[in-house]
Amino acid sequence: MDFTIPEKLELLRKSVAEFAEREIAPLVEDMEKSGEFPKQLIPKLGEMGLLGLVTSPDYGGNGMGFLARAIAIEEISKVSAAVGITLQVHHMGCWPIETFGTEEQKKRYLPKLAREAIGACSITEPSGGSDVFGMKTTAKQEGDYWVINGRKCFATNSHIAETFVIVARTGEDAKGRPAFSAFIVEPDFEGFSIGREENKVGFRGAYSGELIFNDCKVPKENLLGKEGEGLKIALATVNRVGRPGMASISVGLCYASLEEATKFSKERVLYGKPISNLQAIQFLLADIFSYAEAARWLNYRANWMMDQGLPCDTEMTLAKYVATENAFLCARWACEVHGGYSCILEYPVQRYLRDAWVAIPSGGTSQVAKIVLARHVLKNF
Amino acid sequence: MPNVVVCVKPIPDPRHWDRLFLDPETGVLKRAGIPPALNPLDKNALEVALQLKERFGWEVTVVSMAPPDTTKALREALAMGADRVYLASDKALAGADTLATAYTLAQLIRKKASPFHLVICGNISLDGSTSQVPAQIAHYLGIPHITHATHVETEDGQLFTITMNIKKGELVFRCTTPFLLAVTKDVNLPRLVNVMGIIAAETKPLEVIDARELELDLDKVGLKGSPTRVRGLFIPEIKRRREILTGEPEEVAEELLNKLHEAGVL
Amino acid sequence: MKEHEGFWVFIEQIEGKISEVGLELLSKARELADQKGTYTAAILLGDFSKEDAKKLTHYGADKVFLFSDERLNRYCCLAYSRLITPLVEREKPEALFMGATPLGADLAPRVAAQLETGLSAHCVDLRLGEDGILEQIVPGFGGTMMAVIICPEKRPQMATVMPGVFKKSESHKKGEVIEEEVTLSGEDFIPEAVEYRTKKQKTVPLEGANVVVCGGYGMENEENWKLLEELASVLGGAVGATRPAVDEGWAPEEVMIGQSGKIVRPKLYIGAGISGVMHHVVGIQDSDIIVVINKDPGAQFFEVCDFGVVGDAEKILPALIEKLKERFSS
Repeated sequence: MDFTIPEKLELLRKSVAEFAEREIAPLVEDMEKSGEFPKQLIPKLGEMGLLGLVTSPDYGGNGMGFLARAIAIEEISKVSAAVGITLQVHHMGCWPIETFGTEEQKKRYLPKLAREAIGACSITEPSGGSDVFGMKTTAKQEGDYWVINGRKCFATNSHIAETFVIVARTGEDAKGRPAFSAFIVEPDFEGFSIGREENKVGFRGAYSGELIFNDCKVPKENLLGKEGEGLKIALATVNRVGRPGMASISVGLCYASLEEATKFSKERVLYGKPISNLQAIQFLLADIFSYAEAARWLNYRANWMMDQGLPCDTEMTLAKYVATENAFLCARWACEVHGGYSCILEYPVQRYLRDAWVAIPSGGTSQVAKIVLARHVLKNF
Repeated sequence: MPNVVVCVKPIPDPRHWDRLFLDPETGVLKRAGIPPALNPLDKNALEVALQLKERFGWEVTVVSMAPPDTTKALREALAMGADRVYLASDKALAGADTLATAYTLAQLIRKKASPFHLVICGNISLDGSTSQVPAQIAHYLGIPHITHATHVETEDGQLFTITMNIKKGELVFRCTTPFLLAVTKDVNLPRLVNVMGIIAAETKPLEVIDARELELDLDKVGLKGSPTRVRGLFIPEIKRRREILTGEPEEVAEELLNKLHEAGVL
Repeated sequence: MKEHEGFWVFIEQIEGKISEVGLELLSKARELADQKGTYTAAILLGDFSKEDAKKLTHYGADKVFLFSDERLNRYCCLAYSRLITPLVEREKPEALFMGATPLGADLAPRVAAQLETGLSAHCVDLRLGEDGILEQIVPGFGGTMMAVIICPEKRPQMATVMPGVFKKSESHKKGEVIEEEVTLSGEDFIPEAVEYRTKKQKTVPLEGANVVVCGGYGMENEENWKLLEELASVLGGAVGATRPAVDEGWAPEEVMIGQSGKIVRPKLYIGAGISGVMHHVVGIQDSDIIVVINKDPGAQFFEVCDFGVVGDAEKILPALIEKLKERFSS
């Protein structure tokens, strides 16, 4: 057992924190107001090496890995959870291409995604997200193309991604259940369009929108994995990339709450003394700290296992469930420390609360996570 | 390969200075648990060097004198783009004031980083705040120095035009290499360390060198070689005075200005 | 050690104009010399006459060592140090002070290294310890810590001292001017100072400004706001604003100070027409000196101030501006 964070990851944390402070912090207010993602940030994320964290050097990335990714997203999200989710879903658009794609697909898409372009992975439809069998989008093979019809919703990075990994129904399996396949879609494919953009309470500045497929023609070489492997690819991506991504954002929110609450409690004077002297406030700080640490270390373990190539789907789900719930609690407690000031938009704690709220259902609600965890418990204990 | 030397100082990370603690019994400053970080202005110095490296193909050598557990901070210099680090570290060097520090660093530069075109330093360290070491290194190396630099220009990498901020105005100097330059934060915005830099830094050389290898005169280093001593440390009272002035505008204005003058802020 | 005697001051000048800090240090040197029963001396380099140098005796110098040469009007470290160091070696003063200004901070360490003696930087006080050794008080860790520095064996004891911490004073002691020979060749003027530029009087950016003048909703109108700008320009400082003042359109958002704006740490902060709510206070609380001007004596802001003026900013500010102009012109 060794819980020491390697020196290079500590340096990564420091560097990303400086990057976030210099390049992202000045943009947050505008993102909150406009809901628009600042596109000028994309090449900067590339120069920092953050777009290529989970892409191997063979395909233009740096392959620093999942624990590194967890730390980087955590630090980004301390400043802006919206940039955090943009980055995390970008990685969800890269990883399945490297893991399941052909050599041609990897060479065609990954170097650009590692440097300067945003990717995405879109599964959820109006008829359901976690209910994958409820997916209605279809793909039919016609000559050299797959023709896709249907729509995806709440698709993160909808308006900025240059590559989408999507899943559509392509027939039935031997048992008569719907079979799905995964595709790599570029926004200028014929029949593809971007629909409305959701106006969210949190993650403001990160796009969540509709992807519309209207006889969309996808070249047959853009089938990702084998026909019928769509569900496997989707679940693996959500479990191993999406959930730890949400967990990392949430850990960032936990620590942002901790720092703001502590700072405020030392500055705010009531009854002639800083409120940090009051036990009622100290208990809140202790709670935020405890829940933040618990979330962080569950997340680090899961991501470390991923880097070691160990099976970790349960650990990823556990980390995601605990971290998102804890982020909401930590933000709430930080708001309580702030009292009336938590209702004022100038103080960021209210933003943490809104962002944490949106993090909970992203990548599957807590109830869905609990189903997965209960299944694990019943099987193993 | 032509060489530019950057002197850096690892300091207790300023983000954690609230954890500094003055032991009331011993009067010793405790910095335990505060991680080391590069002195902020040293990054500006390194940025000047890296830009020269990009233009003229020079190698960037970083030198430092510090305890051995500061290599973590020095690795950041490599991640920014420096080619190698030499760290002078030895029990005999402990307790050095600026004179002993400058002597040691100059010796390190002579032994390991010569010949050089330029030695670049941050103008001041955030912890010690003396800004004395750069000029004293220059003395020991027998080269001219220019401190408080806000602009560094050169066409050919030999003749430099340097602007020195002297508050009331600016002095523009012309100087040919080799010389020592100490820069302020106005000189540039240091680049951020990126992931590729961090990975590259892992395999770059970072050599720790002891006093014997440096062939130092042991009477001139560490506490023994330091003419100054710290007689005591104390934490200043920062209570606000809360002096309330009332009266006719003319009178209070005069009274206020007198008070501000006494407080040394006019 | 008995042979080292006298408190010396390097007189800084920029393009022939003597800086205040040298005169301030002379008065402190005078005080220390009187305590110890010894003499004071000033070192002056530049295009000065004997009569010019004589004036320094009015500020407490018993002796003035004058290096008169046109070439020395513009600062050059090597040239200066090659004149000062041999003089100090010859005369053996027990202490030598310089201003903690850019020129002093450039010159003093080089001279100290040549003399192989100790030097302490940015002193905020000087005093004699019980053992007669000079105690130099220096700030460390951004002023969170103060250290008492001594130089027990080597002489002279050298220090650079922050401008403004001592007050210059005229005294009527008689002193003498000693003209020193300037023996320098072109090789001593390295690096070559080719130009001196006075800084353009542009508005100082908030960050890093030594003086910040800030206004709030209580400034009442745009007309009054101009008073803040005038005061800031007289003081060479920057103007800041609270959120309500920005919302009123009196100041641009970039100069907003506080929780969602900028954090400033000037030497002097002057806040006028500001109630002092938390959002604003967090942005200014690390200022060295806080001055609050408010007509409401019960304003919360007075609780965190060093000097509070109860009164109408509309009347106080013009009085301040006028008196400052008088002071600076004399």
